[in-house]
Amino acid sequence: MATSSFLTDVEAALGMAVTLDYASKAQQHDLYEAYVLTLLLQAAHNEGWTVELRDGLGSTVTSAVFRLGPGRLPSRGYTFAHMSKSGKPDLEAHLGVKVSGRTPIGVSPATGSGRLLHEFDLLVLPATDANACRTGNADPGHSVVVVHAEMKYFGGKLPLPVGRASVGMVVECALTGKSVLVTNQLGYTVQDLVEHHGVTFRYRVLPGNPKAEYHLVQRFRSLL
Amino acid sequence: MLVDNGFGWVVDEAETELYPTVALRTRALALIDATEGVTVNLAEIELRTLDVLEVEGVEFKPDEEDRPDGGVLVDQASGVEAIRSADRLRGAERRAKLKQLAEQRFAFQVLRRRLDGDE
Repeated sequence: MATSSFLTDVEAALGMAVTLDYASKAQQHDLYEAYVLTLLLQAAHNEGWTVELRDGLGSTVTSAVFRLGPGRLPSRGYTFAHMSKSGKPDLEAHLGVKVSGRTPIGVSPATGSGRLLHEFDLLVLPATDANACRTGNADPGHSVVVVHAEMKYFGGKLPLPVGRASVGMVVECALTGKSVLVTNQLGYTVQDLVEHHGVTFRYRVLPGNPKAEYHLVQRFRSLL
Repeated sequence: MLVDNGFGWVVDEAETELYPTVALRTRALALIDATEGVTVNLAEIELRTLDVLEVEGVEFKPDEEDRPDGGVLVDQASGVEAIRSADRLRGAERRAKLKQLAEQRFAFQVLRRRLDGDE
């Protein structure tokens, strides 16, 4: 077949992608976050955790609602995963919530904790701490983080500033050994930088790459 | 093609890490990869998410409780997203479209092979 025929197929694919709202960068990023959450849940399942999707009122859900852009854990309208396992404290996994770091507020706008807030793409924390946040309308502190993951869904190789941001987050929130940077792409300089600072780097993580999915799931298993 | 369909930012990302003097073939391959990423790969990602979470749909909404004193505001672009989400495809209709899109991978594979000179 002529190349032009396949280019027509590609154009049709782009048209479908527009219909599905994929032209929005935010939508793509948040969808990738939800996908990585499924890999965390797979890791939890493999480790013997019972997983249940809930909303902010504690009810189970049949349709998931996640945050578009950054939000707050106490917000009630969003889906999170509740995880329980005999002999372990219950955990919760949230997407797109802010966590207070170590830097005290100086000239920037006041926050409830008096410290700067940072968005975590994926946060796992003890359920007791999450409940305390909901009850007190407070953002979680960095000291309660069990697992942190940043996701980068990119159209090309990751540029180095992505790695610098990741390292900055690790330093600010004391996340060495708890943090994973997950991407659909490669990024050699980013990988060197973040791994030097104790961040696990998992690349080309996609449904069509079971090997990459396996290595990410194994990392999540080790962190739970 | 990407720019005409509202994916101009994808072109920027695909070309960010390419040297300005890179061969046209390399640039074309990068753009094919990027286009596959925002079409077929995303459809597979959404299908997988729906299947694993065992939910009818996945919605994304700005957090209205995110306050100015929280340090990050919901920006105007996110507000636009919220309005657009009201008329987005849902349920079985969306799943059918996702499957249809996920089946378009062959075109990308052929174009890549032709650029590599394998066909």
